Amino acid sequence: MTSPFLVGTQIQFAWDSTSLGWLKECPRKYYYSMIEGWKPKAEAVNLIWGAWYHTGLEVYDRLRAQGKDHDEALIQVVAKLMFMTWIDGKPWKSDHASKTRENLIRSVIWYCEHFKEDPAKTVILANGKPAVELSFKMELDFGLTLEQPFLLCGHIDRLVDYSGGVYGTDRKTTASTIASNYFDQFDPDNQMSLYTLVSKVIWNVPVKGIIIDAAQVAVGFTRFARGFTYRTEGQIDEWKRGLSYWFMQAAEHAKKNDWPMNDKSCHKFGGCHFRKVCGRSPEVREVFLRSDFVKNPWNPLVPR
Amino acid sequence: MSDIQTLFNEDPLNLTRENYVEIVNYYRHARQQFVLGDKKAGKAPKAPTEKLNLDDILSDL
Repeated sequence: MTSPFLVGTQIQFAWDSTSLGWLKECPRKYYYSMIEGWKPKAEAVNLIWGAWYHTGLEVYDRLRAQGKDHDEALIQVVAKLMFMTWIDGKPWKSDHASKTRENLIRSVIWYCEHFKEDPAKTVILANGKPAVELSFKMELDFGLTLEQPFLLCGHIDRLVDYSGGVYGTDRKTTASTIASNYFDQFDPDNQMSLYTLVSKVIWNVPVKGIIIDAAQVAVGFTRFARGFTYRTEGQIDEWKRGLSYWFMQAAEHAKKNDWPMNDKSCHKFGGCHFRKVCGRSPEVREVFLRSDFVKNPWNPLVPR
Repeated sequence: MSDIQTLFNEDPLNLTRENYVEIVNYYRHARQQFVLGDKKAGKAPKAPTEKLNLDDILSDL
């Protein structure tokens, strides 16, 4: 597997919105998450559940784009998810209150029912394939070595035609109620700017922005809401120019092996996973890391 | 009609197309119930109304 770091260094050349987001939040968070590869043990359920949720909806989108009707596509999606979540001869058991096998099936069925008459139609690419689960690697025109330019990588759920414009789409899940200000967090937002940029460059589509389909997954129900975030050419250019600052910052930290904490970021977004570690004296942090986290390195170069 | 939990505990290899249809229909029905409840919950309850008697009001003045 190709490493996202320049050979023999901790200098990252292949970036996705996740790793860039860690760096922007806090160099220490970036160090723990990206350089050392620590992930909270409790995050495993959320990750696997989220991956299945995306897979289910991706399969549904593909089947619909191939001409299958809603009912047939749903049956096939449920069958696939039932197989995927049947592990070692038994149903997958979750230790999470709402991210369960049953709620996964429910959430996917409810999503497809909710958006059954969706005016957003999947774009068919020039190669004839539906624009679904698009993994991308985009070379930038600068790098730290002549041989290896910086890369932007990631996955876009879908490109859709909506009301005369093309949009990328992204599906989010949350345990919280989706309040009217939920979508404010995406404007501005690192991931949505990156997705808009690459959609324009790689698929040569004049993408207006990103449609976000949010799902509140609760014990007894799943509730959906759709939001839009727009980017102008000027905003995208500005965001792209900012990349060189962040990439150079990361390279400088790596060269010095110095990863300062941004202690104004620790309590945002429900609190950083590493807050309890960083709150300890440096000599005991490793003990706390080993007890509450597992090593599961993140690699932006791995396609979904 | 199978119990939904029985279907979830069954090896998917043993499930028939009809079983998958049952699962879809089960959650489809659950969603309809939820949407119905959500709509009802969204409506503000009617305030109780009481006919006013002008004589009673004027007698208090």
